[in-house]
Amino acid sequence: MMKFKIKYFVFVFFTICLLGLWGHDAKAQTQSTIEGVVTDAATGESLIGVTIVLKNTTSGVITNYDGHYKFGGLTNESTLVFSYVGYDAQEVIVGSKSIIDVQLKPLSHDLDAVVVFGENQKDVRKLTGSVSKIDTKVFSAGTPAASFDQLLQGQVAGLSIQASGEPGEKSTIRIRGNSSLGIRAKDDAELASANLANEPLYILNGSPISSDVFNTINPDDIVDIRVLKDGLSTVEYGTRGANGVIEIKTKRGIAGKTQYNVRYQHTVKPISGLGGISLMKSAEKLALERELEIVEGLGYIYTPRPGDSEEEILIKNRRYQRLEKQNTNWLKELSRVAQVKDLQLSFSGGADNTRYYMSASYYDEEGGYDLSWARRFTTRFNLDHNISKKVSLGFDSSVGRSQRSKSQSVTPASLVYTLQPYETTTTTDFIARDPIVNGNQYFEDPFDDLNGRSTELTTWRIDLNSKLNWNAAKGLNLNAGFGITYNDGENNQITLPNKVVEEAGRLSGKGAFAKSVSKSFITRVNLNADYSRHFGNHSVSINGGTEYIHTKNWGFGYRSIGISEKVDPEIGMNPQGTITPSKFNDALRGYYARINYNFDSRYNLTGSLRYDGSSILPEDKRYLLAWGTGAAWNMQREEWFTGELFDQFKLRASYGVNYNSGGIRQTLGLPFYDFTNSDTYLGQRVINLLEFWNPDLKFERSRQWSVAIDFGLLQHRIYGTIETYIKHTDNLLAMVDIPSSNGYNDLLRNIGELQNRGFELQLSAVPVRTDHFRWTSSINFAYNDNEITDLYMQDEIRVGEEGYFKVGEPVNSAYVKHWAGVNPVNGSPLYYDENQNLVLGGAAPQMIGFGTYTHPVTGGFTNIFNYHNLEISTLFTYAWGGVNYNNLKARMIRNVKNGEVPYEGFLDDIWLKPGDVKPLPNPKFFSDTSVNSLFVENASYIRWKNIIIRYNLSEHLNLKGFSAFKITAQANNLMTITGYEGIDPEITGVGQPLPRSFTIGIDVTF
Amino acid sequence: MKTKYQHILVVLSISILLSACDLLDITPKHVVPLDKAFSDVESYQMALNNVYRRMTSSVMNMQSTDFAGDDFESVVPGFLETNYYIYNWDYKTQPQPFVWSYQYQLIAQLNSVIDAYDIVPAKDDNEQRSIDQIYAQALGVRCWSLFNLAQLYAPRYDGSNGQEKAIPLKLKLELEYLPQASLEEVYTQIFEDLELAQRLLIDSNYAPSFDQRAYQFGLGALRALEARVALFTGDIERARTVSAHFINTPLLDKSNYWMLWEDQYGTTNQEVIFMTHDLSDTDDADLIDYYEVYLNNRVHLSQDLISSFDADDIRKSSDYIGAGHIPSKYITPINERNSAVSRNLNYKYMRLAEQYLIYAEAVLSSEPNEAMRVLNILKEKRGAELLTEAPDKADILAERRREFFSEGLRFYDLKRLSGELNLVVSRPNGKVLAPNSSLYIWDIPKEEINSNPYIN
Repeated sequence: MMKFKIKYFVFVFFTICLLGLWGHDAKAQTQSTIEGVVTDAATGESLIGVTIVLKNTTSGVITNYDGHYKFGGLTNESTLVFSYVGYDAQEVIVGSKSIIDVQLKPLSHDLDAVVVFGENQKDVRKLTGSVSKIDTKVFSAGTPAASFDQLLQGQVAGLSIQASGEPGEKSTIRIRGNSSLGIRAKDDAELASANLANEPLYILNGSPISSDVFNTINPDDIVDIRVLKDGLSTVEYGTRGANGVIEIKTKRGIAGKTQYNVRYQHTVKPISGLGGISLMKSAEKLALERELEIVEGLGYIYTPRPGDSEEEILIKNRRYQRLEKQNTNWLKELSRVAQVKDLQLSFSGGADNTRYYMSASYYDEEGGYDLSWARRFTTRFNLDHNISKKVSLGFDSSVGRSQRSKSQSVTPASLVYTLQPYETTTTTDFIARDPIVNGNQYFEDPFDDLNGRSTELTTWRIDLNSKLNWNAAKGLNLNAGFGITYNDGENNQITLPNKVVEEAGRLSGKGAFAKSVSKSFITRVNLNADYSRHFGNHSVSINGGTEYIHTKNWGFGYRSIGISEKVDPEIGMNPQGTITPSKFNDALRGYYARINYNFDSRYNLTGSLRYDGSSILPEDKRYLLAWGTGAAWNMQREEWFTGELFDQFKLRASYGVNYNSGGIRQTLGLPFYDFTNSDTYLGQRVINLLEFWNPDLKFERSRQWSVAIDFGLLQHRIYGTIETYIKHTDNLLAMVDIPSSNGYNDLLRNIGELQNRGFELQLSAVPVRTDHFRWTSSINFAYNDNEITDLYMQDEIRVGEEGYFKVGEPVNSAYVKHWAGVNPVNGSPLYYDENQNLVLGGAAPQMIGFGTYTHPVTGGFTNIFNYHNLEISTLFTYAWGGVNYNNLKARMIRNVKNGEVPYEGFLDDIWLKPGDVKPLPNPKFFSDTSVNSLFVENASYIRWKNIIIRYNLSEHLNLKGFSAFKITAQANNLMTITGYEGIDPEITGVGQPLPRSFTIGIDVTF
Repeated sequence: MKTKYQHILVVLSISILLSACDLLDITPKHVVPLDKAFSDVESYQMALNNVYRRMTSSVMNMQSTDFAGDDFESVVPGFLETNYYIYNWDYKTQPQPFVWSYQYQLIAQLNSVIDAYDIVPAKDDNEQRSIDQIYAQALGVRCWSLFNLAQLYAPRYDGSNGQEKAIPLKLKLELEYLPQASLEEVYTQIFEDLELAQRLLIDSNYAPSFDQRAYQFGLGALRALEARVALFTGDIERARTVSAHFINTPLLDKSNYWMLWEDQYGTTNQEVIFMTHDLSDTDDADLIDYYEVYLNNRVHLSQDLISSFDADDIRKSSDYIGAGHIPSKYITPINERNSAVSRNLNYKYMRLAEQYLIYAEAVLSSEPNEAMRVLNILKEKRGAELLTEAPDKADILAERRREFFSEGLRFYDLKRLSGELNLVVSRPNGKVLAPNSSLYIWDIPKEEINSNPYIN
């Protein structure tokens, strides 16, 4: 079925392509339209707003946000002039080409600011630090992703992303490995806190945002994402930068004629399977129930027993046989084919002293079942204005709403294991519905369970930023920035009334409603000055300033039991509920300075520091100093450097010291009591200790060395960076176990030191560039080796059920019992102890040596082909060397004895009678919930992430005034090659694999 | 040019001014530090309420110990595997029994009340008396938790093995890495605290209202606990003296026995000394309660327990032992008083009948006839056949079993008397709990030994 669809899809693509090619050839000689990309010759980055004029005329065009331009109405003799502030102008004769790519050479002084509308277009940090830029194309391609963070996968070496299959759910993002001690946890809350401690810092137009906000940004508004990886470039974020920084800049207006852009994309997501798992069919399931004597199972119930009358035996056999033929595919019954709609509108333009950009977008994604969806509406307005030659101001604003919904803890993927294949949608007495005996399943029909409990999250976000720039003297700029952000989040949890539950004597059968409202108001002020000057071969640039960020959080929670079914549950809730208010504030202030010195564009030295104070630390240790230094040597500028091959050959090195708060809260330092909770006892309020405290908490500190070579080869055909780093983090914060005799099981403590060492390679190339054809290719590869180097006074630390830290081992090691197989005599599971002796489950120790849950190798491979008006791009991502815990398989085997449905062929795999030599024990003996090496599987994979085909029809349609009329077709998550036998090598839970999807779209610029 | 530099100066001085004011002094607004939290008696009472509230949770209690005894047969793992492991005396397989963690959580909350005793200011004598009473209750509940922990995780104390390792004696809230205290240290602490608490209540004229009485760990509960601890540590004299306080309080007549379970607010019912509040009318009602646990693990009471009841014994009526011998003390079934099944979550942890039985056992060797008299009072009230000759220890133990099945006392009794009475418990799969077996001492769970260097 799926194969057919792909084939069909590919067929449509090629038909379009062929039509396109044919059409073009017919017209090639009559029209002379040129297009191409303008890039910086030194870095290969595309340049936005480059002016291209027809020589000796005023007619001209400007490169767009991709650095792309298109110029029509030319003749073979036309000469084009490419010019841009801070770069040498270039002239090109058109000739018979249809693609002209131009690489502009920067003017001689590296440190000269290229200031456009008060903003320096040059990133001086790049001279000595590691700052990777993500290609704008990635965001403008229109890949359907409710969480746009997924788009970053495979784009930058050392930026690893683990996606989630749920609409709107954020991905796990790491820069250069885990530099905090996150623990792989089954518990969502634990996982969230581990994520928080390891997350990079996100900066949107200068303001810090949370990862939840990050994934709701409209990708089409983004012009530029920079990933700051090394210790030096992150210094400017002081106490927040130790895990790396992701800076996002949104589009600003490009001067010139107003450009309108409208885009619509429609995506279809077919019902996905369960990845590498197929569920057991009726015949096998019935036989299994009979074999294992599962008393609720119909396979057991319809088993003739001694003493049955002949008639009973006959009826039983007949029913059994009838059930064997009944095979319901529950996943299919409960799921739907999901649609994604994505509409974008934008326009930008401006005159000499004023530019603007405005956009609106609406995104609507359906998940794999009714209650799962995500919607997003955003609008943005940016304005830049030069008041005088010296003073400019900028303003940007955005308003956005994002909403998502899902069923609480139940998805078709988690329900399909409890529904029997021999039951049908018309079954009235589902075996799995017994509310008590069967693990809290309640339903008359499965849709009740799926739709009866839902969560809906709505977030409004308003963002206003303004900045003022004053060029006070030659080389001296004073900048002031002021921004506010208001967030308003509302989370509604609805449990509809349910008779089965109510009859079981549970109050929640009356329905329940919970709402939590959280608001935050962030104020940010930034004042800084920069000064640059050159004399002779020397140039210096200095930048310094101060920043203050104040965050105010407040909100309340409400919950009550009892819902009137006659009105909307939000209105019909029981007004007598409990209310939990909340309020807390924090603030951060920092002072920063950076100095760059450059000699002859040959040698570069950078020093940077930031002195940060945080209100969450006790007064006496409130301020911390982050600092870094770096140097670069442009070797190709040396006289002895004769490598003709190289356009560029630069050696750079940096060192930096950064900090990370790692989840420290102000209330963790002292015993605090909570008076706000809603619990009562006999009508009186109760108070309790908020959390166990630790007065000795310190921020994590990381020190990082990076050494890199940046090179350019073969007349700007190939750009590359090879980089190695050693990152040492101490005062590692982790929630570690404390003896439970303290009444609390864990506590945040500074427990040790770890080291990440790695190697990164980023190559982008234009392997083929002819007059009409261009092939662009980029590949990145990252290897990271993580090792715990010290655990202050201890050799190993155990945390919870699965966490284990040992000096010399990586942080995310699988810490499991060592599976030894099945005892052929009695079918019970056997394990090895440390000395390879066989032991039983209870006595088996947990061990490491089964791999790590974090892949040491990650990367991506992108190829883009342009031929006349056709563009095909495709992305592969890969990860290698890590393992994943096959939770689904573990759950299946554990719960078979309670009637759940395992995978197909399971009956063959289990021990049933003495003498059987089977890989799996008799399920009766398998209820140990501790983690087991049996389910640790190699999760290396290579994924064909997408293929995008775009064709610009504007010439064919001959529409006047349209500069582009593109149609796009795209397929995502096409294929995954992996040895992993669970749902998806990227997914840890029992959820769904990353959905395959197909998109067609139209993109018009006029 | 000059004005330009003036402008620059202005900008710089503004930024310096801005940095001068301390913008980082932000104190938390949503929580209260220790001294402020306990600045009045009402707050102190609220901290104790927190303890009582936690005790209402079914996971907090001791019912899981019944699985290790001989009252249940044919237990299945279900979705609550831990009980099945306990049933097989396997205290290592995950998930391990929760008792250790939950009891110490309770102790931590109690210690936060006990630690604050000196901080809470009293405006007058009246307030001081309230403070003393709150403090005394907290001490008492802590003794009960320590006793439970020592019963499960330490060897049986018989008065002579006081130097053996018991449990960490956690007496203050702050983070500690405690080694196991000796049995003697633990029980000395318990008795001292119980005496102190009783003295404080007596001195402060403790007189709770009738409807609050059984919900507070008051004088009655302190005495009941002292008698219990004394019996279990072989201090017969003390057990006798303390339980003597109770044996003149009347038990319910057989015809009113239902009141014990269904009518905790009634004035006739004086049998409940201490119980937890029923939170089933609040949002927290969806905790898995005892009865659901029985259903999930398919618990049936063992045949020898059932057959040990006399024909007219009210305690084996279908109101308390349901179809298929499911223990049903924690639901109120449909009967002439109730039209619908409802949950019964007032867990009755200290009952008058226990004091009768403690007294009988304590006087058994010195005054066997007195023992018979007291035992017969109980038997008569429950509808059992009366003794005609003086009982022996086995008789009293059998009576305790009938009276307290599925109330979390049986395993302690087996541990206490298995050696003396040569009691053997066996499972259908062949596993055996021999007299004085090491299986009577539960394994200290991973949550403790993972991080405590002194215990392994």
